[in-house]
Amino acid sequence: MSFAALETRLNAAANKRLANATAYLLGGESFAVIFDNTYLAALGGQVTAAQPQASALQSDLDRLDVSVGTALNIRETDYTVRDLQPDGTGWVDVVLEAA
Amino acid sequence: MATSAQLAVRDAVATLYAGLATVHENRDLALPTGVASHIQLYVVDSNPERNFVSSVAPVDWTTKLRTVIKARLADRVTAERAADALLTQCYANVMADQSLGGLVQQLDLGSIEWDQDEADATVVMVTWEITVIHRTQVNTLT
Repeated sequence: MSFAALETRLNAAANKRLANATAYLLGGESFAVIFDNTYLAALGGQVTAAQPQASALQSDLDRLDVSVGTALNIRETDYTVRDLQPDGTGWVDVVLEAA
Repeated sequence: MATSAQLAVRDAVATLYAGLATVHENRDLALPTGVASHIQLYVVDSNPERNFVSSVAPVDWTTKLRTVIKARLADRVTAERAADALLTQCYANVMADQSLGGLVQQLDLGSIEWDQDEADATVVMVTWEITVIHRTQVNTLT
């Protein structure tokens, strides 16, 4: 088995075990994500806010044509994809913006 | 309890802002989660026109007031638009009563500054300063 095939298999297993949310597109398609919505002290602590971010498989994003500007619903909250940051190992950090 | 003329002036401005958003006076509060916007109002400093003390002449004070407006995205209104609407209304209310209920002799405009940051959505803070001149008798700050 090639290294790439091993990596794909490992990523799929990790995603299956670690995903904690489902991202839905407007058309109803979905994919699993590792979702995080941590506290953020914006404007030097002047505004309490959040920093929503999801990690997803590159293959899922490619399959569903997710790109910057795509509308997603995660945990019943609407977001827009602000940026896609691939880590080079098959995972992508999906930076989200409240819609 | 006696109130200084400086805080009376600040209170007069706060009254003009009533109903626009929650107004916090001289409090360094972060805009809390779930709150769309709020206003913070400060007395920054207050300086007498002269330092020597006369037993009869009143003192004219130059007092700087700072209004800070913080806003976030809510109900699909962007933070920038929400803060701008509040700023516009605050300005209009102050300009409609430039004597602040008869407390001040002169009101001078100061700068407006915009700050923004990226969080789950853009958050905005607008700071506006005004300077007022008001008078007290030499033996009291009220």
